[in-house]
Amino acid sequence: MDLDSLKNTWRDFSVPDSRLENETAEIARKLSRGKAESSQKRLADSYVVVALMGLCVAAMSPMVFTILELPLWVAVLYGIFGLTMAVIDFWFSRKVRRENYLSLPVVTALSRVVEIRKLQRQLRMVSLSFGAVVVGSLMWEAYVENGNLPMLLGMLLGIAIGVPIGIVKWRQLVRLAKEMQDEIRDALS
Amino acid sequence: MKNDVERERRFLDISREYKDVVAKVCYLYSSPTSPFDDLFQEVLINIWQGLDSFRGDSKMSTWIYRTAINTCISWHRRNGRHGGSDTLRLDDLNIDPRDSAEGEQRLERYRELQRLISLLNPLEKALITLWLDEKPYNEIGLIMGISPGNVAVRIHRIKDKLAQLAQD
Repeated sequence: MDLDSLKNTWRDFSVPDSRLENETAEIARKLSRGKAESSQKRLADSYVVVALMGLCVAAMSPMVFTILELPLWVAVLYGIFGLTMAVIDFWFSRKVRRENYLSLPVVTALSRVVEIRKLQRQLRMVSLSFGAVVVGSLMWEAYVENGNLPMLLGMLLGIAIGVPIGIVKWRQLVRLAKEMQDEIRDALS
Repeated sequence: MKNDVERERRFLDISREYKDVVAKVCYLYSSPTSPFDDLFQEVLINIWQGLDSFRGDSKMSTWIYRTAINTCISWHRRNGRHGGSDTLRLDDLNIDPRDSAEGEQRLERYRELQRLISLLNPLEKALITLWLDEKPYNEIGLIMGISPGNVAVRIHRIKDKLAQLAQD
């Protein structure tokens, strides 16, 4: 197909009005009743869910001291970790919700998404680093100080499952970021 | 209540006027992981949500194209890789089912068009969509956020790429 044919085919292309009007009317009804959400809003809501989980972690920190009988400093560290993650995720949720990049010029919007994703990776590094300190402290106190082998094995199992998943996700994020940056560089060159 | 009614009326007026623009963009970006109906709905939702923030500092058509293209690109990032195309059927399009021979030929041309364009990256797809819609380069530049000179160079490269892909 040559380019002239491509253009003629495109000019010829149309979707039945009835189909589009039905879909548009249906979506308008849902929107006016607040029953339709964009995927951006769903993404923001997913961060709220994670933030609430962080609050649950913080709420459980007294049990680290009272039930698991680990030192107070470990329980406090655990609580601070949960609170910090909750604050970060609430903040990020708000940022995603208020982001209005869709009406920006396409390349500018792509640059804005790259910035947000970079921020997301940085926050993930912070949480991973903090989480590693907390888990390390728990493992040390649980096994080395108290000889609690089942707890240690449970933590190791969690690490064995979580770390590969985390590595796969991390590599996906990095690959996606590189892809977007290459597209921007290509568009502006 | 009056504001909601007026907003819905404004939304329906805009959607009616630009539904073909939105539909065409969505078809070109559609794929097995990003079906047309999902993209179309997502674009309309984003148009609705962006209505209050549209201040008229660009043309409405510019704003609609930006919203549609950015939505489709974002959807792809979140829901799967690009490449592949949603399979078109006769009843998806304005083709008279009684004239099946002509209809099938047209359908094949549309599928070939969609197949070729699905092989481009997201920004190339956006540029070629706007070129196919015969937008002037300065308007394409405003929609894309690049200079008209850059638009011309990029479109020239994409045309070469499409010509090569069509031969393969």
